[in-house]
Amino acid sequence: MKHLLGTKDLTKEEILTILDMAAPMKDIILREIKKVPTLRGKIIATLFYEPSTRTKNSFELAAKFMSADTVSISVATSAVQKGESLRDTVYTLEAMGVDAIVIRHSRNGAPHYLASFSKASIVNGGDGQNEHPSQALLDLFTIREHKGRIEGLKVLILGDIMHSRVAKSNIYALSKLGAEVIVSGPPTLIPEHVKEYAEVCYDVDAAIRKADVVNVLRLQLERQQAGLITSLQDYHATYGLTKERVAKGKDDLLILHPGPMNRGIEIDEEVAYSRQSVIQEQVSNGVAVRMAIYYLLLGGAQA
Amino acid sequence: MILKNATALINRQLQKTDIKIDNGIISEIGQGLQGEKVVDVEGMIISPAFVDIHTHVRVGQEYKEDPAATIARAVSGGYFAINAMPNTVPPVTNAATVKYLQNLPAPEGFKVLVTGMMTQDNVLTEIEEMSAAGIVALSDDGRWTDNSFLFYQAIKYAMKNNLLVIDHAQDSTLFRSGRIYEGRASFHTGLKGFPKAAEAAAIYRDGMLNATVGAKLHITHVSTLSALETIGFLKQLGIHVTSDVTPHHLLFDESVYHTYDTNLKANPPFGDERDRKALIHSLRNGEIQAIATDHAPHSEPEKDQEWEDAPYGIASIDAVFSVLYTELVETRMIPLETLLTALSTAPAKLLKLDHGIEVGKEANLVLVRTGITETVTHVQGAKNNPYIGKEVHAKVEGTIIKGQIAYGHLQPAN
Amino acid sequence: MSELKRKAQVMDAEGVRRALARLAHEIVEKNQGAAEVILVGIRRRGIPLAQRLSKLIGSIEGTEPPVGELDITLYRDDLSTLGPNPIVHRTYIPKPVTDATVVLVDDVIYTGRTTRAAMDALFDLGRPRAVQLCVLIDRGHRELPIRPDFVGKNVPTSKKEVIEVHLEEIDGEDAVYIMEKQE
Repeated sequence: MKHLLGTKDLTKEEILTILDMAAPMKDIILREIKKVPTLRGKIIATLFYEPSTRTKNSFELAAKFMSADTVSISVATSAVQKGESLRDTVYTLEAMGVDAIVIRHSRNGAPHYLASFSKASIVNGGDGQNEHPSQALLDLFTIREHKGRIEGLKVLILGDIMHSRVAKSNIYALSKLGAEVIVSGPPTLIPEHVKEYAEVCYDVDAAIRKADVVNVLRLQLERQQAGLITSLQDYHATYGLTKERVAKGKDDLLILHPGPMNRGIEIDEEVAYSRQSVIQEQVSNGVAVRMAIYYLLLGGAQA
Repeated sequence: MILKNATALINRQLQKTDIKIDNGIISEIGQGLQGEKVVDVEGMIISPAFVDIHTHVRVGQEYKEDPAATIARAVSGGYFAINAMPNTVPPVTNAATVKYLQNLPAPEGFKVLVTGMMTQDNVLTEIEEMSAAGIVALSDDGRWTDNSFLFYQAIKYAMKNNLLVIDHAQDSTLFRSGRIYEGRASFHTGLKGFPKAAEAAAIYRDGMLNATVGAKLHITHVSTLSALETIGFLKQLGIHVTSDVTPHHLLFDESVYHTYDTNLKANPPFGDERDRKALIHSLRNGEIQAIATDHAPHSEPEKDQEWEDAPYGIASIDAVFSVLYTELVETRMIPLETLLTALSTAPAKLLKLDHGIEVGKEANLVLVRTGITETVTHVQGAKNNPYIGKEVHAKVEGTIIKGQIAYGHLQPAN
Repeated sequence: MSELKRKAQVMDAEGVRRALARLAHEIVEKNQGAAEVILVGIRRRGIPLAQRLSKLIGSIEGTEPPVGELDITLYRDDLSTLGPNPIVHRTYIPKPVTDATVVLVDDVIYTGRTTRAAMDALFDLGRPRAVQLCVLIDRGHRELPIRPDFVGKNVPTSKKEVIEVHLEEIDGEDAVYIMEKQE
């Protein structure tokens, strides 16, 4: 594997390899000495054009656990603000000897654009509304840890499917692994074309009742100004993961959220911290999955 | 000059003939013509030279493409007339700018027709003075005239001055919400989608407003099946409406977006395979009259960035014929006669140019050769041409403008 | 990659059995019992060997020492020359290694690099009181200052040759062969 641009481009086997590799990586995180020498001498750059503490820290920690050196470029502190083009920024990083670049960008396809000319491996850390593959892979890893499998599970993705790169990457990966994907949310935020991959179920209660797993998406609060949702209250009442709704679902319903949460809007506080919630675990699994990704991109001889 | 052994497109039909040209005018058509300066064009096809109804000449933005290069590319592509869109810098809103564009340096006889803006800052432009200066059309190209009241008034001026109304029909509130059409590609790329109905809805409004006005309403760069259906409906109501399609909308569909290739970023966006087939079908049966290049050059740095930040536009006027021949004629989707007509006399008629291979008419001709193998290369001007590197099976051998060889290596024998 | 051709058999099932029995006795003798011993098999063939040694020691001492599994992939110094990404498996050791006597078990010792990686991996898990090395075959050609404590059989080889250990659990038979690279 040279780049990780999206789960859309991964084969089922590649996804399974990443999930399999993430298990020994998780063991490393859980032990006292959280470091292996595997990527000694490699340099990994994080290039974040959108603010994100969680994802950025996760990618950087993963690199450090693998003994890679990291360099971090964020918009506020770099030449990026001076109008340097993405191409020039990448050339600069390459000149510094960077082996992999993790990019987070508001523009769809920005990682694909970098991959078209970069010698370094490109990891998509989230592009626009397109994909966020490492998040989806950590979601799948978490689901598999708890359910023992992906195939045949009914996974509900709840919320703003239209604008969610997490949703898209999850939908591609889950359907490749044979899960039954159900999506639910306001009609303005469900793209018509999702039907190629998922069942659309506007009745949230019915969707929750049949689900084995629910992945709740973060609602961008500006959707109301954009004319896409009626009101936040209305959203919570109709599409929020409330404890009443969870109570009507399966007893072993697994609850995921990519974070950060808007408690009281898309998810209730009690639900977020309930025994069915694995939201905290997703965070540590994220580091493990990203270590596995680095290993696969930089660990072996380049094919 | 005598063009010997030609296969010429005369009245939409190809026929074997010689053509004699005197003082820039076609003086004789027929077999076995005698005279001086004979050019043997055996194996070539002669068509009335091409006319582009929709060209962006970058006056004031020469860094994108120098107007001289735009004109040279047009001539090498077989064109003798282009219709400059008004979104120059400054835009075409008054007679002075019209004159400037009309007088751009060009080969003798080459015509730079000019389209004026219809509205600016929510008021009408100086339509009357621009008409007096010789504009052929009005357009708010690149931006639909979303003020219905103003559009309604503007088409009345167009009617009075016999101007074509070149309509970039696209509901602007819907377009603002997206970059490409909503559908499979918008889902797969994350690029924001807007509904295809944005085109049909705009056509419907403009057509219905024109019902009582009777201006020459022309829908440019049609891109969707529903737009074609709407045009059909308006025609049934007896409303005057014509249309054109671009080469890229005939050749690409939304599946190309997954590469995020900025050279394939155009507005309107590409529809799906059904839309594309409907466009080809409508061109073949004459429901779409003309092919317009929408030649829109941009600089390399502008196109070499994130897809969403790159400007819309494709600049391919020099490659249009060879690519369309290869993709549509050779594959038997469009007859050669239809392609040549849609590139030449059909747009000429919309722009009121007296054009065709006929005794007494100005000798504006293009000579093409088919059945060869060539690769499209970048010769000059902007590089945002998605056909560069593509293998084609036809080429423009020469362009004759007002009886003079403006392009090509045609050598008179004696 | 060059083809391998079988050149000679250096051990049969009975030979493997006898060698392991002797190794079990040597481990017990050197450690004056096996109470503090953890047998850690290096993936892949070290693991069944460690399991068999545990049983054999159990039959001598009455209790079987715990068996761990060590995957050294992430510690290898030759990853970038190995071809694309060898699979990483989990490392599992049932008991803390700190203050234990760890006997690393592998099928063949050659350059010593695997052993070095195994020791690095082991020390990231804790601080053993002592580390010993037990191999079925020592084929020579060491590139590092490493020497096994327990050797089933010394087999002098040339660098063109390869030792193939077959074990019932993985290969369906117990045997050791010398293979030769065919150019």
